[in-house]
Amino acid sequence: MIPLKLLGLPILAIAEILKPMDPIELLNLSQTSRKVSRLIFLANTHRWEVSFDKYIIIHTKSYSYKIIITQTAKWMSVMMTKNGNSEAKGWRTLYWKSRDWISLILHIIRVFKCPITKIRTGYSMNFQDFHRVMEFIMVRQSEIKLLELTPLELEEKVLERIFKKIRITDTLIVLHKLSPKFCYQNNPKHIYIKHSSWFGIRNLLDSTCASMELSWSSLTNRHLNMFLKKWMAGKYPNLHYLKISGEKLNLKGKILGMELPIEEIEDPWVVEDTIGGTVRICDGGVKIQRPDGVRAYIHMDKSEAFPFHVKLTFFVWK
Amino acid sequence: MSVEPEVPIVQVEEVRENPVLYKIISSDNHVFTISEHAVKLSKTLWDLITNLGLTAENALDNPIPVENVNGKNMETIVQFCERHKYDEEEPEYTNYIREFVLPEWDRQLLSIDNEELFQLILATNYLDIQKLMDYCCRVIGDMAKDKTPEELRIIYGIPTDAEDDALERSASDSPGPSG
Repeated sequence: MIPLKLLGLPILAIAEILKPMDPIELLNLSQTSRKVSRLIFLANTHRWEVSFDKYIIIHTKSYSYKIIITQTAKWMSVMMTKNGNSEAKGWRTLYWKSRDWISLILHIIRVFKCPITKIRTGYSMNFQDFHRVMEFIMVRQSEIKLLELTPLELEEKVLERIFKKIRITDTLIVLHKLSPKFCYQNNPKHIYIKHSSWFGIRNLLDSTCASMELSWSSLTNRHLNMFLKKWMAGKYPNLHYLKISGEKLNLKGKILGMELPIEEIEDPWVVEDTIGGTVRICDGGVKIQRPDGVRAYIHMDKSEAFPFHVKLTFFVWK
Repeated sequence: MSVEPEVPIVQVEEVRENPVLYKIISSDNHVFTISEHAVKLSKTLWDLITNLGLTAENALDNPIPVENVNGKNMETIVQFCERHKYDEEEPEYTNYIREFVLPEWDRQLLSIDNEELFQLILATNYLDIQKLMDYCCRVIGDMAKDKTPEELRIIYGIPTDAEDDALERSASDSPGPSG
């Protein structure tokens, strides 16, 4: 059979041929030659997004393609789902000769010229992998929507540099235990820091987050008072939800002039909302109101999870 | 017993006026007749007709020579344009991944060998017929379904990197115009 000489066609025709192809067909095609790989972006692939979350996921307008990483075979199965639906709509096969799947992520970003928007390091990505990916994307993009760092053998200096160069726009989740000296400069909308002893009062006062969850915190009652008094004075207009727990918090003294523990017993309310994709609840909070009329619910008591920890939940009614 | 409906059902017949016809001569001197509605699908031909000032009265006396398209391709193109001349304008595709289904009639029309398909695309590109271009490209794109990179290289006649490099080397080694 005579081949159809793709590269002999006008560039407009090549673009029209590539546009209906799905990301996996394009990735298979991109491996035929360097020349072809440089043409793949004609399929308007820059509109797509890539994320990493155990799988490499390519998000198009209507469908997502979840590449299931295998390190033994020369091909990978790809599950195609309609956006907003987790059920498989079809399966594809991606051929990738190298066992180095990190190089596949880099190849995808290079040929599609699209951003990587979410990284959850999980258990598949070690620090070297993470560092390699971040170095690659730092020269291509200045922000990322979501970053989740699981415990990694990481170098904090490298991570500080990453935080300086890449703005996290939506969510930062840090499950890794960082040292108290860790210097953090970023301001995502939502943060969850599991071992947050490094997240000091300066970080708290400088934040512009909509939601913050800080566990194993080194913050004290005095710090909470400072922060909440500023909120009462009209600062932190974005704040919707704050949860802080740690062993340096206690149930002695007062917070915002209220005796501790702070809990509504007579007429307890449960307020909840989905904030940053997570359902946030304040159960039995005491209602407070700012002079400008903004209301919030505050609850502070012993943590159910850790006996020596005290937990503050602060929920702003929006 | 059937009941006569209160509102009579009117069988609407499509009203077609006597079409204005144009003559096109292919590169190998085959003559084709095409209606005004059909020829409008080709931006190149319609611009030519407008610029030449062809009208219903003088159209058939002034055949349009199309030097870049042979008779075989022109026959396919005329068939396609006549078939689709009354189609409604399609919305622009925003999400390209196989958003439209290629109609069976068109799939049959485009079931031709690769060399013919290649020439047809060049002709379609020259005549600027967007819909036929979309359909041809779709047929070519569909060849990539479930294929390995090696199979794709064969289907699309793609040289390897080594072959490309060798070609580039020989091009740079060859003496230039000044000898």
